[in-house]
Amino acid sequence: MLFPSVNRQKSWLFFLLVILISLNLYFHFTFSGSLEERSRFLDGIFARALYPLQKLFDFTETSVHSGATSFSRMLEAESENKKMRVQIEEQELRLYELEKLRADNARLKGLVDFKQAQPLNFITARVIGRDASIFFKTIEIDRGFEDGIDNAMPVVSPAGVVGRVLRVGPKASNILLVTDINSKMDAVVQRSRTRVIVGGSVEGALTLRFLPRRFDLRQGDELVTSGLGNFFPPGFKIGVVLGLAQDPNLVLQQAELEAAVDFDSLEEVFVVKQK
Amino acid sequence: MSLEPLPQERQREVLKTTFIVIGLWTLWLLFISTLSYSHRLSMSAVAVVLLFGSFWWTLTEGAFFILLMSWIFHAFSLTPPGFYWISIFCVFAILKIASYRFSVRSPQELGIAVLIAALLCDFSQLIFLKQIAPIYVFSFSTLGFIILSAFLQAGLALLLMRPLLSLFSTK
Repeated sequence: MLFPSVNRQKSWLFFLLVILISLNLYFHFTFSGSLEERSRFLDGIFARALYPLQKLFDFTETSVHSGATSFSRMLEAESENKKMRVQIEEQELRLYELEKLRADNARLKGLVDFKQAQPLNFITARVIGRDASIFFKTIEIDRGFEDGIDNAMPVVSPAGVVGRVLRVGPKASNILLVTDINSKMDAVVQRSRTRVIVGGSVEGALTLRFLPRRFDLRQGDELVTSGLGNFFPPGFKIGVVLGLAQDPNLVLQQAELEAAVDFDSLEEVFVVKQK
Repeated sequence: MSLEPLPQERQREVLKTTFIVIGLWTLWLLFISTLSYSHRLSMSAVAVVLLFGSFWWTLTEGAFFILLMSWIFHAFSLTPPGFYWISIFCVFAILKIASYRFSVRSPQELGIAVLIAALLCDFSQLIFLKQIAPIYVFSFSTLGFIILSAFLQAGLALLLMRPLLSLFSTK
């Protein structure tokens, strides 16, 4: 026995083990509860305690990576370059937002109850960590509630939708990527303006499931967020239809999407502060 | 005269070594979570810790330590700790039983042991995931990444074979 001084209380230790495991299984094994509820248990303590170390590791990794790839460059120029890149991405995002608003404006001009979309506010954040499991898709950013981040805030990049805020700490937050199996969102096919539900998968691909057989969807169709549910802002790119899986024996069909965002090389993201 | 350490000293050594191994594993998780690589590959190295545990822990001790590991892992992943605990403990139980019959002494045995343990870890999670996530659809690409990850972890274990072999053989 590992705990020699408590040999007499072996049964109590075993009882404690059973209680801990039961609680652990109760709170976390089921997928029926909301993700937010599941992520607020004891394990949040570990996430907060490990944040300074993670920040340190991220800093070390970034420094080594930067040194290896741009050995000949001056460090000051590199730093300036990074700042400019972030600024350009911010500008690109704002430009994209303006173009989207203009397109929406033209399309909806004739509608009576048209409500013009207000410009969005963004919080720029750096990706400092990724999910250690291959079955779940999350990232960690270096902004927390001290920076104004709140649960369920949408996260985007100039390329398209990234995900939503899942767990918020004081200085860091976890983002549930749209490619995660727990993720689902309302989308619109740009060509036909029909609505679909886009979900993630274990392998990290975006999928469209439960489509009727006669659903008007073609390879190359672009999907954007619909804005329904007041969750993701409308008009942000999600991905492009790669192909349809049509089985003549099935009533429904499914399709696979190529995500607009390259999640492997994601470095900076923008958290959307709603209006 | 026996050179075997007293049981209490031995137990203290087990506890100390275990916390060092779990601490190193936590640092490894920190390292890989901040590393820029395709995160479709599993590099968690939990198989190495389980192999160590199968030689050093009893089943009850393993249950406690794996509980701690599941909470630590949840700090780096969306993986629910209960789900992680049950899938990893199943693998630990298999490895524990296997440790009564097999040992790890040579680099080849180390590579094969890590390969099998890593495969078991990911497969057990895949099996449990299929039970709890009704929308999960099996794909061969996931299978490919699991196999590739297992080989990668076995390769990394061979790079660190000296300390690992000493960990597995001193028990």
